[in-house]
Amino acid sequence: MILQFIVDVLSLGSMYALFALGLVLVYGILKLVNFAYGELILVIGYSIFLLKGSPFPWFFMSFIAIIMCIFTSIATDYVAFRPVREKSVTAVLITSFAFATLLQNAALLLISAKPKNVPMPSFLSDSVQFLGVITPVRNLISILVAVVCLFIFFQFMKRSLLGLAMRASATNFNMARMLGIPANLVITTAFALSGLLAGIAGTLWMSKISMVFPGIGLEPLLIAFIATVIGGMRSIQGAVLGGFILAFIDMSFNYLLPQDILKFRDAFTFSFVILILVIRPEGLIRGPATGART
Amino acid sequence: MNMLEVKNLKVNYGQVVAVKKVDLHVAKGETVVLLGANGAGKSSTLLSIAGVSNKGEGEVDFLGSSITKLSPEKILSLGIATVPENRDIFPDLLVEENIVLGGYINRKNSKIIKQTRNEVYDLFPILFERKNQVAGTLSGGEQQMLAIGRALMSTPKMLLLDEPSLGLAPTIVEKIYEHIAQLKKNSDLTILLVEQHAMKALSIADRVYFLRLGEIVSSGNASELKNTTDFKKIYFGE
Repeated sequence: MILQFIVDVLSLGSMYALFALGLVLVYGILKLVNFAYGELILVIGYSIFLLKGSPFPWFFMSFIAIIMCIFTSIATDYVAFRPVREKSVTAVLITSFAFATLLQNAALLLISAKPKNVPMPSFLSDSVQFLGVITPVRNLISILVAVVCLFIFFQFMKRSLLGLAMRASATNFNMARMLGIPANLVITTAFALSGLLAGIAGTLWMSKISMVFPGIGLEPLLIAFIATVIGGMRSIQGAVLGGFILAFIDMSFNYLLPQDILKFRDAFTFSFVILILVIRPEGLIRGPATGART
Repeated sequence: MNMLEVKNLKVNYGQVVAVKKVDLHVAKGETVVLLGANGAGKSSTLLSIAGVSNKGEGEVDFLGSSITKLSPEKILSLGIATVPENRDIFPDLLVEENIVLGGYINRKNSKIIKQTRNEVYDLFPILFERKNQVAGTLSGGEQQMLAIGRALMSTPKMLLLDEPSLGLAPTIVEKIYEHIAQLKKNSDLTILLVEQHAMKALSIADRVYFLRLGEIVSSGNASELKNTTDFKKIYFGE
């Protein structure tokens, strides 16, 4: 029972953590929340859906979908952020919302308002049993993928010069620029990595729900946002931690709440999040000292 | 020939005018000090040269061509490195990582990186001792050294130094200035220094500008001014 709970939390948490990490990367540099972030899941879903008829194997389709995701993320920067970045925070909030709405409506107009089925390889849903735990294969794959991604990601941030430059820019963007680190390179890299992480997490998400509809982006955006708020908006470790904590809270309520209250689970989760924020308004991990928007 | 020439510079933050009118020039190899009280517009002038603060009006030329509208990263790559007022080291990175980032523009030339790093560690041996420490754990004086060392890693032609004495104990200030003097002696680095600490700054300067309420009020040779100037008037007005 306890082991089952741990596996459930970890598999949900891996997805949440990757989502949150993608959001906090851009926030860390620009100090702006990318509200078009959730739409990356929409891109993943519809990309795989549209490739359904193609002769490619599934892994290749999801690979292309992730590439599309990276591309869309970078496009968000060029369309919604770059033109108004220097001018005002409000403008960027509105343009990122607008870009999200644009993508949603494109899906609505060009495809359909109805949920569409996203094909997933059938082995992902097969159940495996070990040590008394029964879980679908996709849950174990989620955990594995997250561990590998997080390891590579943190190695990149620690060992590579570009990773160092990203961390420096997140602390003090102007100072980083005064050392010759090009702003546009850092921002584009942040959006690209954000797209990659959202793409990977989105594929895992798809393997769970197997469908896509125009409004699909809201929930992942909310999850990523809440996870980063819990963990601390300025810290990449915080985002990962926040993702797992949110999964822990969600899953605990899944186990504890009686069946007829379960549909109000999110209300319980949010109340709990508010409680965390009352105790630690900065989030659990504080991150670098200077977090002012520059 | 003038290495840096600032003409009719005006800096404002929204409605607030920080710098009304600044004209100054720095010749190659010179050490020029910009003196003034709090809020005189010294840092704004410096950051505006570095490309960070918006220039309201005016013209900045470096080595004969205009850098007025260039980005901070472009200005650095032309050879102007900045040590800002609050040092602005990256506190959660290691000392060594701060140094490495300072050499970002030389990243393709590992020989230059290695050589400058050795020079920086020679100048500030304490940084070498602490290179695997998180930079935020350094003392104020060490952070100042790190900020200067980091700036030197880009092998600049000109250094903009903003109040290296700020918030440091007098003995540490003494030490920092010894290092700057040593740096001046060992290289042909051109320095534009901003200070409140007049006596200390005058000891290493060739020329001085006095800034008051966003305007240059007087200027001259450091050695002459040291004895004749009425500092009270400069700092506090009539």
